[in-house]
Amino acid sequence: MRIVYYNCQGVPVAGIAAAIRTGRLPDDRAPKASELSDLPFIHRRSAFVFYGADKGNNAVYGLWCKADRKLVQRFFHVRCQLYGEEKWDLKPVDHIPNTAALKFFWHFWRAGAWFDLGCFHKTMMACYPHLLKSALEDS
Amino acid sequence: MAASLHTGLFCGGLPENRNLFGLPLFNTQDGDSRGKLHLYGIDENGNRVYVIGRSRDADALTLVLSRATKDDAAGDVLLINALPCVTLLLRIGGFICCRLKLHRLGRPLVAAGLRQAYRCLKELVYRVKVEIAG
Repeated sequence: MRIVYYNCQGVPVAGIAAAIRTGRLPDDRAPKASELSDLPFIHRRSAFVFYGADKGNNAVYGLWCKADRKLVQRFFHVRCQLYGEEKWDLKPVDHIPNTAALKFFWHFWRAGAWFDLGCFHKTMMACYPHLLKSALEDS
Repeated sequence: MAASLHTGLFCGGLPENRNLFGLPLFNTQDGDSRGKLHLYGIDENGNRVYVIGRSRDADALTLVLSRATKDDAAGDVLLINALPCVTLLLRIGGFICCRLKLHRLGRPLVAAGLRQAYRCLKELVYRVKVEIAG
């Protein structure tokens, strides 16, 4: 089965949830700032990234972009129609606390403000329990 | 209209207004049909031509459809963005017709907008066909 964590607010929290699920980020402690910054495509405004396989050998992807949530779900349906693929398991990663602050610091960091990695990391830590819950439910 | 041109629904010049509005899916779309795939027809080389409305979420559509698996039985999918050909008049007419449901007011604007966009769409379809032919 293929699992996609997606976020339609254009913040890479879906990538972080996918990384937790596949074991790239720890689920028993808070990750370091460098562990966050080393994640693939984490600085991109929109991406669809394969993160690896989880414990149940499911392929796990992260998708984030600014879009209408309903349309993203429809696009996956279209993808299944076009490519003849089996249904994707879509897991929304939204209603994240501190989204505005997270977005703010993340944009500063991707713009090259190195000191903002610390702020982004700190804000991310505030919502990390929420992401852990999203990533590990029914795993 | 690009799909109509591609599938050869009208081969001559620009059709009259009454023929325009008789085209499949033409002016029958509303906000809820965005993101739904419609098979429009098959071109002379046997390629299936689909139409999809993606609103302002081009990024999401491209991302979701871009990761095709290698053993893809459906063959290659070529995403063609027809938006650069859409004129302001066409946008306004489309909004009045599809969102406000004021067809009598919107249709003349849509028809006029399509006349403006026709050359661009024809060129777009020509380029797509050249690309397909390799």
